[in-house]
Amino acid sequence: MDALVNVAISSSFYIALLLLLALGLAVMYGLMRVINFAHGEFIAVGAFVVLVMQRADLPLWAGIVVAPFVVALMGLVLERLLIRHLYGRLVETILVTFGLSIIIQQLLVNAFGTSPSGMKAVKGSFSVGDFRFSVYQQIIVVLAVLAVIATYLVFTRTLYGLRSRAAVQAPDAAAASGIDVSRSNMRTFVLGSALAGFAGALIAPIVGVQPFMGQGFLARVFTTVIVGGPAALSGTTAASGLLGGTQYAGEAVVSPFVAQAIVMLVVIVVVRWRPRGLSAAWRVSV
Amino acid sequence: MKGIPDDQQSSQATGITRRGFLGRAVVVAGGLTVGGPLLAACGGDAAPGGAAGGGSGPVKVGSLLDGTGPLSLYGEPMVKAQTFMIEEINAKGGLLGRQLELRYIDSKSQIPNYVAGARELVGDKDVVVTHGGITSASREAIRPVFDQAEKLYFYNQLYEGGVCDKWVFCTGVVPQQQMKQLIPYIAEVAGKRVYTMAADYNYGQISAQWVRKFVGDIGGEVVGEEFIPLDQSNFNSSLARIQAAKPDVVLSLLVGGAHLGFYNQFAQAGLKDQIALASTVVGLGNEQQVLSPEVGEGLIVAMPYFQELETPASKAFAQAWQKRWPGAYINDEVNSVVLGYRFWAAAVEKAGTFDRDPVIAALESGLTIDAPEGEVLMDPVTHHVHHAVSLAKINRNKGFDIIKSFPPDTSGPVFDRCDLIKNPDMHTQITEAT
Repeated sequence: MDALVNVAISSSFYIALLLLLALGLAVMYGLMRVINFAHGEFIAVGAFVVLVMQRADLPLWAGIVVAPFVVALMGLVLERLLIRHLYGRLVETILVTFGLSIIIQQLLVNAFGTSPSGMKAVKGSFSVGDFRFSVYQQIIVVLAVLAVIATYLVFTRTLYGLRSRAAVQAPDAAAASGIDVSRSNMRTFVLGSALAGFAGALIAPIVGVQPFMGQGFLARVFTTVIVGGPAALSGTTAASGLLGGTQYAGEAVVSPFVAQAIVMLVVIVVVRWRPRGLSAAWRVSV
Repeated sequence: MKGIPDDQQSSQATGITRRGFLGRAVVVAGGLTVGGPLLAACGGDAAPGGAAGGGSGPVKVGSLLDGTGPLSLYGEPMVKAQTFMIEEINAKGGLLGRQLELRYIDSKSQIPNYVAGARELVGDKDVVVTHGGITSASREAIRPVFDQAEKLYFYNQLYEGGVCDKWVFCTGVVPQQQMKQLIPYIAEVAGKRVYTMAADYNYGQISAQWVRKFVGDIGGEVVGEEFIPLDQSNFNSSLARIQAAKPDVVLSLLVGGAHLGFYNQFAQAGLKDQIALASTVVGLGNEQQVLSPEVGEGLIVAMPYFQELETPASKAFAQAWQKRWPGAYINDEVNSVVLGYRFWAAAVEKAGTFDRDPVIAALESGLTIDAPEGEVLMDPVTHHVHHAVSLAKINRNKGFDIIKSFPPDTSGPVFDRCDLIKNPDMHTQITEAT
């Protein structure tokens, strides 16, 4: 029984972490087909907001609340200046966001140095049999699930959500029916940025907050969103379950290095079997 | 979406067609293939022009370091240290009456840039020596370049030991000095069951072999050993295995920014009160400042140099350093870089020339110099430095408390099976497994 609880606790964390990191990109790429190579840096900026607030002796939860707004603002500025000229132009978006990621990394180094200090640890652990787990990691699982549900509700139950889906899926028809496509895309990009900032803020206490922290996530997160397929949220959730679960199993049974290879094998099989992604044949709205 | 054929759906939404995408992608790929190496080779050069390497005028010193990119975590203190050393030497009138001119190539945390940069530096007739390389991976990528060109190369960084190469001098501390003091001490204060967490590349792999040797020497047991890819930041499975193995101490050979997460997650799982933490590398990236006190306090390390050392040599150096780089913590990397430049400069002065063979002979003549860690001797047969080693632990104030200091052990070579005076044609690395 203990072993089952162990597996449930650990695997849920792996899946939730991947989903949380991928959520912002699922909105940007999954919904809008904007390839944001600076997604890792958006996450990093969210983490740095928490760092700055911790240095000012503000509590962690305050940082988690503020970070999405800060990154959303950054996303707004970048969208109006750069991204909105590039909708539909995939290759140019890649180049521009790639350059953006380098710029943001170096700005973070200039502002904080290469070894930034100030994060405080989150205390609290619990035992299951012989094993101890961090309470905070389970909080991340809960908040990740809530974030996904909230995003899903926004896109399916609100007027903004309906308009934004229309603007992305049928821009001409949407414009003809009076939807301001440009503003809708802007709002979606800003939402994706806010979600990335939220993810960065949540993981700040558990990973090292440093200017290049976004690099390690990018490949895995992109893979998850692409494996997820056309239904951005449902697909990414399913892909996170599959790939996060596979990574957990691979690490638990073999080693982290082999687990990465196994995940890639699973990706190859999925893309071969369902070239357009897991959710290609699903009849879901988002 | 119903009603629209699949292959038209995405292009209708985004305006992209397969042909258009492929066409543009080819252009971009072509541009990157041509432009990439050009940019890599050009980037970061300082004053590529300058006087020809002749009798008078400035003499060029080559440098290959990661000043930018993720490894600038380790590169930035080293770049500061090299600037400090060039200025120190030039302020005293240079070497042999000639000023030093630094030709620094920023490898931007990419190994291909190291190789391209090394080829450039050996091709430059005016460069008389190169100091560079940070990770062991970068060193082993460029060492063959210097071997083939038969040019002098200084590797100024802590590493797994064993490089036995006529053209190469290593000023960093090695396991035979560092683990030799660290492992008996942690056995004494924590216990003999050791769990190794290592970065998955040559430094981690080879150092883990040395951990087994030194733990075996004191009658202990390595109860677990893991190799973690450099981009991994989620350590859940490792923590589960550590708890299952019930070690007395976790010995960390983890490297890089992503691996910082291990210490946070270890502390947050509540393991600090059960299992001790020690490391051979913590401090090189100023982790004692990054980690919060609840996470870092009590972590045991062993290095030749800590800023907190109260010796006259240490204090004198710290004063001069703080004038040049106020507020910058002086870690062991700085010590190693200082050693590299001071040994090279002393050898040039002793040899009376910049030519490679007389300088090597001078370095092999039992040369001693003053370092932040104290007076040190270059071991003639291994081309390594006899280091003092101090044990320390991270304190509540994001610094180190010195526990005990050991003077250099000059009774034998730094490590065995390497005699570059008797066997000058060796260009290899000796490991515990070979």
